Amino acid sequence: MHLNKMIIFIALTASLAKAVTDGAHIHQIKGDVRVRRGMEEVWSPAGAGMELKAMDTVFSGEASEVVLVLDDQTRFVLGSNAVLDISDLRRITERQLFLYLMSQKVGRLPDSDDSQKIHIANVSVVRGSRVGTDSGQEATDRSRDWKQEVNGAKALFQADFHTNAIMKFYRILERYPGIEDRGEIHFYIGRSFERLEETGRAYDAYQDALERIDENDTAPEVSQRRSRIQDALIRLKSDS
Amino acid sequence: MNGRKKQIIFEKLIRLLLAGFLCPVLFAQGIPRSTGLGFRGGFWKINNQVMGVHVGTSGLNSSVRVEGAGGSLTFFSRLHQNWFIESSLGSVANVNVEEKNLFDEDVRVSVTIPLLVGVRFDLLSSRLESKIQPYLCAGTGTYWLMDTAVEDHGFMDEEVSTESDFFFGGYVGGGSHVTLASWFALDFITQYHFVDFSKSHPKSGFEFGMGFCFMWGRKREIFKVKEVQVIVPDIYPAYYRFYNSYPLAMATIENTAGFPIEVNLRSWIDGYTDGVRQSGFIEIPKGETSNIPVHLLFGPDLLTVENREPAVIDLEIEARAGVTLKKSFSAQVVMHSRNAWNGEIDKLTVFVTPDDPEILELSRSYLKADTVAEAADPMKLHQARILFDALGTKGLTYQADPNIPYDRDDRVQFAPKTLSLGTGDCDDLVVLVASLFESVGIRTAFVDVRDPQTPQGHVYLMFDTGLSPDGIGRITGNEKRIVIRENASGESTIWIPVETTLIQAGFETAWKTGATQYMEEAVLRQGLEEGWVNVIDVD
Repeated sequence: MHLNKMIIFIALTASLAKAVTDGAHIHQIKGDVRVRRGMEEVWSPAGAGMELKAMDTVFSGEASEVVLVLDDQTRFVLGSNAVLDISDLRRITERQLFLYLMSQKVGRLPDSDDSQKIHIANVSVVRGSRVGTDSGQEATDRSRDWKQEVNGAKALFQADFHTNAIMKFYRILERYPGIEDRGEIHFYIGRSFERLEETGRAYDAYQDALERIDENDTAPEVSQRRSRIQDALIRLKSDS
Repeated sequence: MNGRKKQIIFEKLIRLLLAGFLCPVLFAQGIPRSTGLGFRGGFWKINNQVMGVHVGTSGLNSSVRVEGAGGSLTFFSRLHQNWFIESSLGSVANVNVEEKNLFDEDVRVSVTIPLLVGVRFDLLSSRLESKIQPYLCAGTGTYWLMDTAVEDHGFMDEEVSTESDFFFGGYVGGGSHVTLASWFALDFITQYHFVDFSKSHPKSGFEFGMGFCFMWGRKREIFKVKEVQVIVPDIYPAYYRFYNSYPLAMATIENTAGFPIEVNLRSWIDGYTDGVRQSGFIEIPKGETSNIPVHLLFGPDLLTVENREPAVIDLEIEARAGVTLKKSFSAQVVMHSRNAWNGEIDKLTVFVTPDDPEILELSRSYLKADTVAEAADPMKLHQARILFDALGTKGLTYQADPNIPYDRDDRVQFAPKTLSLGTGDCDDLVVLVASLFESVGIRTAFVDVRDPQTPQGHVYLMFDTGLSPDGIGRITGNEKRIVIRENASGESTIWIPVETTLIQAGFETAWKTGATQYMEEAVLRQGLEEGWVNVIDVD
């Protein structure tokens, strides 16, 4: 009985290790840098020379920095207050990126033909939930996690991992539906697409970013972002 | 009778004939058979002659005249729809016997033998149900005329002379069949014969006849079954509800009647269906072809099929157009066993039975036994953990499907069977856990993996915690362990993948493994985008 279980577990682990080979090792650390292995819940202190696998995650705290060297000897710097999965550093081609974006679009389309699905009549189903349990849960403070993930994605952008950055930004949008300030992400998506010379997509992303900026918000960083977006839109329009 | 009067009578007769044929109160006899042989007797009103039998005496003289009496034998055969070809061989005679004094006798016999070929057109549509079928006919042929005179002037003084001639000619006319049985009809006819194609020929004239005919051969086709295409050649009993709303075959029926017909299709499989399924009468317009779906009426009894065996779909197609015509067809299919699964992941959901009494009882007993007053996990995650771990304590193990000769079906056990056997492969275990979770209101989905790098497919489970993505902190600190999915109403919730084959290893290990597989195959290798990883909701 236990033998079967062991065989399956080993086979799964082996297939995983074979399938995703993109790894890295820690070259240099500064400050509070931690590593989380695979599906573990706990973070462990990182050290120089530590091997990281695709499923691992690296965290860099306030005023901290970690320099990673990928399997292909590319150096990657993760700045302060950032989280990054090592799998986010794998090579993502433009084809893979657009396949992902297309599937996201298709996934949002309503089903047009349900005739192939099995429908079994269910005349009066009322699904309820127990009062005072999960339905009334209070949302945890996610803004910190959000910021760390966004910083990780920005690091990808700054390292010219543009396809990776775009995919990461979209996944963040998916994971944090409750976060209101999403304009910055769309702005970075626009910039990444612009670097990939996808002007149409870049234009759309900048438009999305502009729509998410509160007109009454006069904070300096918001004003600066607004003017940069408007400049980008003018630039893209004149290019096209 | 002068010529003008004759013409008036002729025209009146033609009008009467046509009015009678086209009168709406007359109806056709239905669908006539293709071939017939008729016998007819009648009179032929030859020009300038009195039609009939005359007997007269005057002193020592007497005379007998029979003029225009005859008969004919007719054969007919259908050409197309209401058109028939007919051929007849007849004989009409004029006989004149005169006795003068006691010794002199003159006998003059004039015989006309027409051998004709023509066409007949039945005027009324066979969709009308009646016994009378009026028709028009016309044709051409030869008329052999033969005159024989015998003059007897007493003892040993007799003179015989014969003359014959041969003419081409034609005829036109009409009549009516009165059908008394599908094989027998009375025949009434009026025709005008143009000997030598001339109305003025001495032998030209009207023929009035009546007789009967015997008919045989095929009735006229009003529809044709062009094709019966089997859409579902393999029937899987577990999908019986699905088949009740999905056509298993398609019958292509062409209307060849020349008028609209209504078609009803009955279908059944002896020993498997719960009765005869009817399509209801569907109108097929004139000359058109319709595809009629073939549905079958299956019930839960189908789940008693233990072995794969051939079966025959019986089809009875009934066309209605005044008359009713039926045709029968059959199509062969394969009936699989109750546990057979064709590998389509969406069909695996039919094996999930959360309302099975045994499953309901089991899930409730497990949850009642839970003594944790205030679980740290959200409710659904907590319940899922309890149920999964409880199943693990029952000693369930992974066991591959048996190899059944000549049977390439995947075999899926219903949840109670897996519980009783204590073993199952990935699809059996995923069905069991899904049944248990769904029985307490936890929504589930199958993750179907057809990895192009691996010969064998795999399926594991994912369940809905009901928490929004903002509640992830209540479940895990590692976002790779969860999947965010959007439901039909656009709300995103957190789902947890579990590898159900690791049921004995416990929930935590199954979760980690499931999440790892999902991350690696669906996300990093883009299995979802490339289509070899599919997530199918059970609900």
